Amino acid sequence: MDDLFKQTETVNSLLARYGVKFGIYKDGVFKEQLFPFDPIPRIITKEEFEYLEKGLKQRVDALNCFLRDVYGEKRIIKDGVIPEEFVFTSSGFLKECDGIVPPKGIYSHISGIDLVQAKDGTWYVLEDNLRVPSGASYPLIARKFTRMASPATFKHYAVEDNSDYADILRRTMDNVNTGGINVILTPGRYNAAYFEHSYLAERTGAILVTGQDLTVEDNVVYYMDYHGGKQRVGCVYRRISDDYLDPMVFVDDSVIGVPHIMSAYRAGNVALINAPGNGIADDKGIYYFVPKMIQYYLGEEPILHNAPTYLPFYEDDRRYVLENFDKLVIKDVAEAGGYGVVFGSKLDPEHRELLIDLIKREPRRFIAQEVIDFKDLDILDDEQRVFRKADLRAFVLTAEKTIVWRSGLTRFSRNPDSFIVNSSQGGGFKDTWVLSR
Amino acid sequence: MSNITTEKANQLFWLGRYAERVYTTCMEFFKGYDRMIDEEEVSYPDYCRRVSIPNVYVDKDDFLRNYPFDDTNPDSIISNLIRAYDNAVVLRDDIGSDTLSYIQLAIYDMRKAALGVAPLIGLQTVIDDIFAFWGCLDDRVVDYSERSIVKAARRIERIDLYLRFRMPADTIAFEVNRLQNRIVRTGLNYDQDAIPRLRNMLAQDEVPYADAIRLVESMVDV
Amino acid sequence: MDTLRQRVRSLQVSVLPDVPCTAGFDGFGNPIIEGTVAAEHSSFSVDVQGVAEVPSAESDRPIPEQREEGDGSMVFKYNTARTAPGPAIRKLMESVPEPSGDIISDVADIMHLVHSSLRYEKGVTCPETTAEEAMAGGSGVCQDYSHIMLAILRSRGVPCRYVVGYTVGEGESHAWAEVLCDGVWYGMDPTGDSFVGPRHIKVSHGRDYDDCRINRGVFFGARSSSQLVHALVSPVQDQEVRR
Repeated sequence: MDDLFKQTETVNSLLARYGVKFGIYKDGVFKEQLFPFDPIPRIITKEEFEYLEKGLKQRVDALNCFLRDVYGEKRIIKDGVIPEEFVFTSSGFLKECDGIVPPKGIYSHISGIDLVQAKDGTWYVLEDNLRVPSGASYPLIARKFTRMASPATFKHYAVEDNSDYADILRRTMDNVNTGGINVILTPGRYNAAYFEHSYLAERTGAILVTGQDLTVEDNVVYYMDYHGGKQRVGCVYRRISDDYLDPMVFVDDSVIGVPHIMSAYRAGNVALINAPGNGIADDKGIYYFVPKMIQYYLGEEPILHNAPTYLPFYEDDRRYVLENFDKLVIKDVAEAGGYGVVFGSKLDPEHRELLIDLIKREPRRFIAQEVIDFKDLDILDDEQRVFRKADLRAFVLTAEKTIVWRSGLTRFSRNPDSFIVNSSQGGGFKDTWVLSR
Repeated sequence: MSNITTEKANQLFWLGRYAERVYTTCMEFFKGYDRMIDEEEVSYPDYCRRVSIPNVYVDKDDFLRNYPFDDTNPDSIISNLIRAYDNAVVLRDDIGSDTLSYIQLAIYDMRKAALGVAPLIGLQTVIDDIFAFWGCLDDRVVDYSERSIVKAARRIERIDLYLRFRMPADTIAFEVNRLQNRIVRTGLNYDQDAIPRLRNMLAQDEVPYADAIRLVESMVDV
Repeated sequence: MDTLRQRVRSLQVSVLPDVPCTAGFDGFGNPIIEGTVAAEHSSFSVDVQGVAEVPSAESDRPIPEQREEGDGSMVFKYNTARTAPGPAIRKLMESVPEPSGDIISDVADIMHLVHSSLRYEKGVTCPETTAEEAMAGGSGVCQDYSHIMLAILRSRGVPCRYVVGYTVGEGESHAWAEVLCDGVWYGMDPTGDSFVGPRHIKVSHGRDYDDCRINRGVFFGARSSSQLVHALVSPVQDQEVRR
């Protein structure tokens, strides 16, 4: 593998050349940044992957059952497994989607499940991303270049091929397509993940579109060409959030959405990937209940663990959280992307009191988790190996059945003291190798 | 014509024009630079006039550094290259990552050339990248009309610049023939009379360059 | 829409420029009509006419509006960002009488309280105003009365929803609240301090104002625009209608 490490610069320059970037806004100005790649892969053995695969399939299947239920019969609420306020006061629950059954009953077609591994080897699910999880394109293209730069490494290690992501994604779109073309709907060039949108369009053969390229007539979505011709759209892999999807239903000054697309969707004339309203299932408060969902819907014991989580909403948990405040991470359920995450021990006395007060007043708003003793991964820092916090985003795609992609995005924090690995906060990424023997 | 939107047609068109603008102005800069090595007097104001850009340069050295490499100058070569990139980057799924990568590579090479003591050597790699871009476009872009839009735009830009440079009529007429073969394959709406009229203009003893430029600029509806 | 209390007939919708429209329902079950004008246009208008049959006399009891057969009420039990109470509403809630056991009369008490605690005044609040802001300001219009009433009811765990519609007279739309009691929704109008009856035409309901705007749309273009809404409701005749 040393051979691969020597090629780090080559691989990074190939990534730069192919525009593997993400956009950020800094002081109001849009900038494209390279996503720093570290050549030391995260290696997952065959056995370990088989375990993860089983657990991830189970989890995503249960989450899909939950979404079908919560926008349908709501049995899990009526049976008292999930308190109704956790559903109906969540900004993720969209009444606008109530009663809609999407094509083939699939809600989360592409799920990004974030995992971390503890020092003792245990894997924990940190969060489920069921709205528009991004990041698969990075290990996908990085693998292409690492194989180019160091064929010897790949001769030596039996690494599962990951170039099938585009095929799996296309099958996922085709599976729910209601007749017509597949499109990828992007907010546009100035979106953080624009590289990914355009690259996945290229690789899957879907047409990359913005909201203005689509029109809805009589509850059917069309793509309009130069001569005013219209082509029916059967599946929209939308990379814009629910809020901006349809100005007739959600945020009404959205100019990146498609007016009336929700009506076409409600009428069953188009598939939306992922389904609008999925935010209810990856809500930080609902996260607590995912193991219970697995038992409730599948009648199985959860294979993968949640990070030990407490809901101040429950009195016992609240007492525990207040007594053990300094050893917990507190998360505000309304925030995402690494924001609104606070380590109890790192607060100064004033902010500590403020937060404790807030938890007492609005317990429903917070979850608290034990700090996991991460198994750090080594990265190359000027040819020195140093250890950094890292997580793994596994991509789970649901078409006829649920498939776990044999790779994944491993993100690490470049700052030695940081636990936060989001690219928007300056992290880098690694390839994830699944060994085939 | 394939099913591309008006916006895509526009982006393909301007990708072709800016890529060609970078190439032709680079070539012109090569000639000018070479001349300026020997000369005592300053000829760059004349160059600016020929390329129709404002002369904002304080002296010859300023021109030689600023005109190719300064991305805060909207008329610099790199600014045009960035415009080519801006159009290309939204076409990744149409032209392909490989084709796009040559435009990206040209930007990196342009930045590198700016740092060297012999900018022409650096700029030569930029020209290599542009040629690789055209080659890749020809090879990889399977959609015939999409490819034709970029290539027709390339001819239009070249004719436009040659007219501005007051190039000889037969040189320009050659490019007009190439445009004629290409534009019919784009599927774009264009002024059918433009090419015969252009030929007439080029056949005149005194070529009406200004009128010809206006005609070329307005012949395609994108 | 048709409910237990009202029946709409001879509904005529005309849109200018004339484009095909699609009828459907929103996520709350409200009927919607939608369409797109793709061509350039300098004005856009929608004209809706029809007759709504409603009870002929005021009632001293709330009149059943709709039956709630499914589990549709769950979502109406919780405050939204617009109805979330703050200090002003919490203070008002201190004067709510103790529950008597009869939900309808408790709710009527709350309606009276809201009616008498807010001054009716146009132009002080706007469509974006929250219940708490209106209460703190002390005055508002039908939208604010309704939001405040919802805020109090929801804080007590009573499922209730926001309704838009029209009332007899000329001007703009009206808003009121509906409360669920024993599987039936009843309309209560805190602005007029009355039960919804012969003077109300219901158009749609939702969790708050945002869910049930009568008109909603976007337009693309560089020009500025202005909007005019005009409603006219006049009694036609008293007629015995057999249901």
